[in-house]
Parts: sequence; C-alpha cells; structure tokens
Amino acid sequence: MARTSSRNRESNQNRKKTRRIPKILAPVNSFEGAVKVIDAGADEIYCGVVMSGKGRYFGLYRGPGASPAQLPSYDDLGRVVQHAHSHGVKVVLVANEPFMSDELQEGVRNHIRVGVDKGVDALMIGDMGVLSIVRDLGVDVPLIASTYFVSMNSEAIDFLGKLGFSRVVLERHLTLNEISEIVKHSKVDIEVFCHYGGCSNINASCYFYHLRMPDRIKREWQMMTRGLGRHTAPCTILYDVYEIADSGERRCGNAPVMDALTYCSLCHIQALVQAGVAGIKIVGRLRQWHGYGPGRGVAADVKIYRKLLGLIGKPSARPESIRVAISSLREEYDYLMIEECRRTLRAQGGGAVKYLPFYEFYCRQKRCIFSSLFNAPYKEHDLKSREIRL
Amino acid sequence: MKFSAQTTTSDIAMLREAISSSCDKVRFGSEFCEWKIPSLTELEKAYALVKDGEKDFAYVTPRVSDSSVKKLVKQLDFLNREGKIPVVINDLGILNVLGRYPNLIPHLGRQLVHMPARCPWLKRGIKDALFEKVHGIEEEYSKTSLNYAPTIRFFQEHGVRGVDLDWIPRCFPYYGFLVKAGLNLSVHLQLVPVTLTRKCHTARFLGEIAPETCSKPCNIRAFRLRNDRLELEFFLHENAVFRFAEPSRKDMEELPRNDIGEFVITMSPITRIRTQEKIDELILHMKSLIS
Repeated sequence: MARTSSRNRESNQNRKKTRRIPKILAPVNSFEGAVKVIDAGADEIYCGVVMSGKGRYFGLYRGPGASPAQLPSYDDLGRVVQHAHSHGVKVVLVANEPFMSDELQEGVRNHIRVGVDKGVDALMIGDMGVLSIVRDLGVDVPLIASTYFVSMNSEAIDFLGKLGFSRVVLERHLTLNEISEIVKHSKVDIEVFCHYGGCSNINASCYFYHLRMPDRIKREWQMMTRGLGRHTAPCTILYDVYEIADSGERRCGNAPVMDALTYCSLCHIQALVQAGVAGIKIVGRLRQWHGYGPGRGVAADVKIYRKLLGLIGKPSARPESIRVAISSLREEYDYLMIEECRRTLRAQGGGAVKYLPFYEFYCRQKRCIFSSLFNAPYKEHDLKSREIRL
Repeated sequence: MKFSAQTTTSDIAMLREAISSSCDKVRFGSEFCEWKIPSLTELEKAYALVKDGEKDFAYVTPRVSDSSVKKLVKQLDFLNREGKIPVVINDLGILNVLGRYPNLIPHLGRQLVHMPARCPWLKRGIKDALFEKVHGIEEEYSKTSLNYAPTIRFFQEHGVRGVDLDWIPRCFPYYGFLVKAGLNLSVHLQLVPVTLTRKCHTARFLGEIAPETCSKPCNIRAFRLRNDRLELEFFLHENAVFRFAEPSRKDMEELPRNDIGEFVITMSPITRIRTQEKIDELILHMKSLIS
C-alpha cells in the first residue's frame, strides 16, 4: 500500500507539471491482435485469459472466463507481454467481474498469480472480494479500478485511491464537465472510455448479460437489430410501450426505448486532453463478431485516435485545423472499415455485407460518447446503409 | 415481520399515505435518479412528519456525480445531528462520505450488491445451462456478491450493518449466510431492477432535453415494455428497468423469513401502490402467505 501511495503522489506531481497527451489503451484477445494494435500506436493493451478451475465456466461480462473475449492461454499472455514490452507498451490483465465466491476464488488467485509471473504491468479489478485476493497474494503491481466500481464522483475516487488503486476508470455516463471536475480533484490517474463501448446502461447495474443469453433470444435480437448499425445489443430491441395508469393501460408506441448506445468521441478528444485524463480507452475484445480479423477493427480505431492525439499535441495546432483533421479522419475511418469489410469478404470467397457509413450512424444519430445524456438516437430514422459487394 | 414503505419521489402527499399505513418504517429519498434527490427543506419536512407519525426513518440515496455529493453532504449534516439514522447507499463515494458521520449507519443499496439472478434470461435457463450444471457452477448464479466472506468483511469494516436485496426465490438459500455474517437484510418486494442508466430511458422517450431541466414526468408516469416475439416484459420507471416478481406462498416457504429484517414496499406507478390502503393490502397479503 505504501509503495502504491508513493506511486500515486509521483503521478500527481507529474500531472501538475505538464498537460499530458493521454495514453491510448486498446483491447486484445489474441497475439495477432496485439501485434496489430501495437503497430497501430497503442500505448497500453488490456486483455483477459481463459481461466483454469471453475471460473473457466462462469462469466457475467467480459471478465476472466471462457469467452472469446479472452486470450486462449497464459502462454499467449506471456507472448503478448514479451512482444508489448519489446515495443515499450504496457499490458494490463483484467480480473474484473464484479463478483467473487468461494467456488471461483481459486481460479482467480491462479489467474492473478500467473499473470503477474508472466510480467503484466497492472491488474484491473472491479470487486472488493477480488481486491482482498490481490492483497492476500501480496503481489506488487499497480491496481486499476474497473468501470464495475461505477466511479462517478471525487469521493469515490478518493475512496478507491485510499484502497491502493493508482488509476480509476470512470463510468461511461459522465459528462465532459463532470470528468473535468473529477480530474481536477483526483490524486490518482483517471481513464475514460473513448470509442465503441458507450453502453446504453450503467455496466455494473446491467443484467442483460450479453454472453449468457439463451441462443433463441440471441438469434432473434440479432435479426431484429439488423440494419441498425454495426453493433447490436440487447438494449436495442424494439418494444411495444404501454403507459401504466390506474384506469388501465394505453399503448403509446413501438420503439427501442433503451437504445442509447454511443460509439465515438473524435470531436471531444481535445476536451478530454484539456481535462487532463491520463488514458482514453477503446472497447472491443469481441470485435471479430463483426467479421473483422484479429485486432483489425481495434487497430483502425487506434490509428485514427493516434493521429488525432499527435495533431493535438503539436504546439502549432489550431482549433480550425483540428476540426478539419477530424473531418478527414472520419473519411479515413470509413475507408479503413470498408477495406476491412472487403478483406473479410475476400477471405470468405465473396458475398456482400451492409455497411453504415460513419456520418450516417455515428454523426446523424449523435452517437457520441459525450453527447447529451438525453439524446434519443433511435428517433433519427432512415439511415442509408451501403452494400459492399465482392 | 416488519415492513417499510419506500417513497420514490419527494411527494409529501405520498409520504403522508406511507406514514398513515401499517408499515413500521418509511424510506425517503431517491434510489436510482440523482436528479430526484429531494431538497434539504423537503428532507427536513419529511423527517419531521415521519417522526411525528412515530415511524422509523431511513434515507435513501442513489449513485451520484460531484454536484449531487455536495447536495447530499448538507443533508447528511442534518441527519447526523438528528441521531442514529440508516442511510441506504448506492455509491462508493457516499460510503466514503459516511465515514465522517458517526451517527449515520450505512446500509448497502441494491446497486452495490451484485446479484446475477437479476438477469432476465436466467429464469428461462441461461445459455449453456446444462454445461454449467455439469461443471458445478450453476449455483454461482444464485449467489450475491456478498456471499464471499472477505467482501462482507470489507463493507463491515466500513460501518455497513445492513443490505438491500431482491425478491428472487432462487437466491433465498444464500440469504442466511449474510445474516450469520451479521448483516440486517431488507428484501424488496415485487420490483427487481434489471438495468439502470444515466441516459434516462423515460426522459429520452418522452422528449426531455437535459437532466437539469427535466420536468420529471416519472413522478406520475411509468411504462410497461413488451416484446411478444421474445416473450419479454419489463417495467420502465425513472431511469431504471425492472422485472416484476410476485411473492407466492411457495416462495415464502423457501425464504428464511425469521432472518429478514424488513420487507420493502416500493410506492410507484408500476405497482400502483400510492395510498395507505394499497400498502396495507400488500402487508396483509404478505402476512397471509405465512399463515
């Protein structure tokens, strides 16, 4: 704990000296993916590993377990760590289910012990029970408080700092002003989500476990949300909405009322830099869902954000030139994604896929991670998707 | 068997109904939405009314951003002066704040206790249910995050003495462990929170522009969401989505009811419980399930 506190003090002093360009943190679930996102410019990568023991068969979100979100083995983790370190990139091991039990603890202990032996640079934790395991093991690596702690205010950050966390990942649903206030008062580093994972609901309080859905429901919602965009989730399903009244019920529409998914923060990166966040985080350990090869979708994201941060970091950068750059980066993003679709189609030997251009999906529906909390993207209809054929 | 009535708005008329009912305790405050935290004046008035009505009082707080922490601190100052009062917390930051108030008793809210069985797919059989049975982890989905002794210890070291749980029968066998560890259990009847957002689904659906200017239509409005094709039914109120769980005699038999400190009745447009009569009706119904 004492070592962590001195690390925190040091980090705080450094922050006061200079306005930092935040690190880009990217998810990986394979060695090949790690190579690609590191090449694309990630400063840090985060990953899980399929666990041993009973925990292998348990999973709620994206924590350890047997889901394809994880690296397949600890040997793969070793290779990833070696490759990352040889490129000056740090590796964060996730151990962040917001849940622990007697049955699962042995697997988690092993996960942490082996991960630390393999040389990971930090552990990401989302539960007080898991924190007790880390303390019990006496491992000396920095601890990152996962979004599952739902940190939304300076008091929560202070609480987690006192427990030994040197970095806190904020809840996704905070506004730029709220983030800025938190960073101002924080003694630990603050990290925020910037791309692809802007959930409609607060992660730790959402029990629509994507990975636990019965196949029938999963098939149905995938079908029902087809055409909405690249990313579908249980909260994007259409519902018949009835208003409840003492006198009875009144049908008042059919809408995906829970859909508040957001994806992008290109236009807000400069504000995040000014706020002083230490890291911006890209989401997507399961991106091969959408047909991209290992790490490719994430690598495209990293590339775009790296370019933008590079521009913002230049003393000569002016707001107008940043605006122009964002516009051309959106076009570049579209190009990269279309290329990915083509590559996938080539690998499949042909066919066609539907693709929603960046402006249609991200911008017209205002699916910005830091857009107004009460934006209802589903009210903007008639998106024009393109067909990409090979 | 004790009952507490939880008001979901700072509606004083609804509070009076709760006070005049046969419940033992009144919970006042906002469990899910930080923009519905009552003002200090409303809290003072509510506290005085509840005390005059000779009921126990508990203050309920949601997850909060910095601006609401400031608001809550003034309220906690007031409550701390009044004596030993339980405060239901749903945010680690408020647990941190409560460390500065010796009279206030932290009570873990539902958002600080993870219960996988809140998942709406669970009752139909989660994916690979058989697989999970074979590997002996099926019961993990019925536990709470507090069924791990170090987790309980952690919260108890921070002063926590009680916890809010849901009426989820498959979890009942695991509630006894929490009591043995020294926690007072409060079990919410009927409404199980399935998901929660700051991007309020009610406000967005009804065209509200921003939280700061929200007209709070949820004070009187709530919605039922149905997807017949997937056989899904949820209830939307404020910024939370619930599923409905009707207490039955069979479930009551499974519950270690002598260990339950209180049953919580939520006054809400969803349950249509907004009057003294409705609260008393549910209390009588619950008592009849035992006899």
